[in-house]
Amino acid sequence: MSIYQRIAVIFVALFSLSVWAQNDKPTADDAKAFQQKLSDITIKPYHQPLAATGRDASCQLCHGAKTPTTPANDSNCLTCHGSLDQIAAMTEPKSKEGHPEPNPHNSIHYGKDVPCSTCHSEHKPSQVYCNSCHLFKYPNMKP
Amino acid sequence: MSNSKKTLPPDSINNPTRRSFLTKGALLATGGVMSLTMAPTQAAPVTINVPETVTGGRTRFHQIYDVIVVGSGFAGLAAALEAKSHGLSVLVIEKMAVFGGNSTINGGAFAVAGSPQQKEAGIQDSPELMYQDMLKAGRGLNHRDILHVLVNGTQEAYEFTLKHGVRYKPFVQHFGGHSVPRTLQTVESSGAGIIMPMRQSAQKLGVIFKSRCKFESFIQDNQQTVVGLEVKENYYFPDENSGLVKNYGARYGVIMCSGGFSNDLRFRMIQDPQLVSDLDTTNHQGATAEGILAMLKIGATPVQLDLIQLGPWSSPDEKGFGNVSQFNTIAGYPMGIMVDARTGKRFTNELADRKAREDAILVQRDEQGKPVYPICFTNKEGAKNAQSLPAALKYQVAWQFDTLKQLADHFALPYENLQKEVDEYNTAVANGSGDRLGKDVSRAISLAEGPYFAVRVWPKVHYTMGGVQINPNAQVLNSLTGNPIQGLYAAGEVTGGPHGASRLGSCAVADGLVLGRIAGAHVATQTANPLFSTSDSDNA
Repeated sequence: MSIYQRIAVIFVALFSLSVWAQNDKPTADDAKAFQQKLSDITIKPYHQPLAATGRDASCQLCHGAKTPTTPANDSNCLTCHGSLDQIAAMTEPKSKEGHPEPNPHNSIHYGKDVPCSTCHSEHKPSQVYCNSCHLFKYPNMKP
Repeated sequence: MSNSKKTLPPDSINNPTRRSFLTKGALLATGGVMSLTMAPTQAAPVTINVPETVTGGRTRFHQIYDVIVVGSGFAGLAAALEAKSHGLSVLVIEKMAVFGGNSTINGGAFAVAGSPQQKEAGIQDSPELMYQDMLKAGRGLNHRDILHVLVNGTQEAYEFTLKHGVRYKPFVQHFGGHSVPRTLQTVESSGAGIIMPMRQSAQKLGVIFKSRCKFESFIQDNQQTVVGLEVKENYYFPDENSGLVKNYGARYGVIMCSGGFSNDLRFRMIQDPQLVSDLDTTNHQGATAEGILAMLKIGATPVQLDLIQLGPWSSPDEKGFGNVSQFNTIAGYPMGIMVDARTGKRFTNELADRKAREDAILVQRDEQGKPVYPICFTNKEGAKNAQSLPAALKYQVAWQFDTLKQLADHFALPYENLQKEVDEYNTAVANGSGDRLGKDVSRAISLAEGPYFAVRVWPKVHYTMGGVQINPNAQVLNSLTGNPIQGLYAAGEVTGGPHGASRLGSCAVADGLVLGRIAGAHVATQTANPLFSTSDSDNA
């Protein structure tokens, strides 16, 4: 262990102690409030069956081991939904007749590079990023 | 790559006080623990004593590169590719989730003086003629040194884009305010046709790209040299509470290609109070002012910040640039006419420069000051190159009519006036000249035959001509001394000068590509900052 790492451990320890010193011990009420907060978080209907796995409450299914302060990493979405190429293929217009809506997962401006969370949200309404300039209608996009 | 931390001896002059050292030491050490949990691909951060004037003392650099480019539009990619081609390690940061900024959503129209397409069409052109056109549109407010650099670099920049895989339509277009057709357009009809291949090319060559990485502020040493940036990684626009602050070092320099501020309502209204919130913008959401403000903060010279251009071809019936804008530039304006919705009469030269047209349109208001949207239309022949027309019809922001009478009835225009106006216009077209409003009708077509395609028009905030002052090497100049701020370059819309009062259409792509390349090439002529000389070459 280098000197820096030792210093680090000491500081982490000191910091943690001071936090505990300032706060009361977590109570049953706190735990309840935390559970309440978790259950208040919107989970969209199409993802609710995942609750059956019993893993949803941990948030880890989508957010990984990190504390979920930011949207899920794309790679976690892709674990279930397939590769970027597969997703792009699924939304490719079947025919070019009648001027169909362009493929949102393989667009002129960004190709297949748009992170999932640019449009899709789990805990709040999703919105189509393209529509900050366009009038596209994607009736199959889940809200 | 080594995992051992490098610490330079404390600077004897700027020796930090014991107290501040302790605080910083604590932060550094806890950061050290966190770094152990980071992905192994991350380079070891280095702590360097930067004799700073701004934040003082020891600065922990999480990553060090030769060149850092802020922004991933035309200027940013051109600068990155150029710097990379000189063997430097280059990082491009982009605050949005997606790359390309405004450049990738723009029309992909690029003014080139002396293109092969012009030669094929028998059009005589030269950088000097382009210079005169831009000076005229700019009302003489152009910074001539930068303008010279711009017009002289378009042909080379065109070749440069071809080299990186950009493809253009085989014909040349005549945009308003240009004395000859000189505008090339990507086959995609979008700047994405330049951005996507250039970014792929840059990635192949080893340029590193980070999205959701927001520029926060400059890190300078005590000579005011810019030695790096503070950024927020994992930044989720527009949530200012998101993101993790990191410091990046730049051995050779930082190139600011952060674009304009058309979508920064607060800042644009400070500069031009007429540009209120009910005027939409064609720009993407990220077109905000923090990049330029940060440069002003460290002494950059502001240039003409209140010169803000509206696009005179957009539609009130759709958001952003939309589908109508391209219809108007390709078809409506060169191949058709625009009339006052109350009188059915034309009121401006449809091929005048943007400022002339926007001024003429913006006074089309009723007694209450509410907009009376003018109608622009052409016929089927005139619209044959307008690729966005099917989409415009589909979303009902453009309409098709078999006869002029139907068109007039739909918009409640006085039909007799309209017919008279069209007849008069057709006469000028038949003669090849003599238009009442001075339009160049030598390439126009007669509007005698239907069917007609019509749209409503209202300008949108489109481009900020102003920005920071640069010299012909794209170095940002200090407002007090007029000398370059060492380590700081800028290119593209964030700079001011070349366009003066009004930018000509398709000259922004030229500006970004030409000056971006110059910035990337010039930064490569510098020597690496000795501050970083003991650190590992870790990120290249």
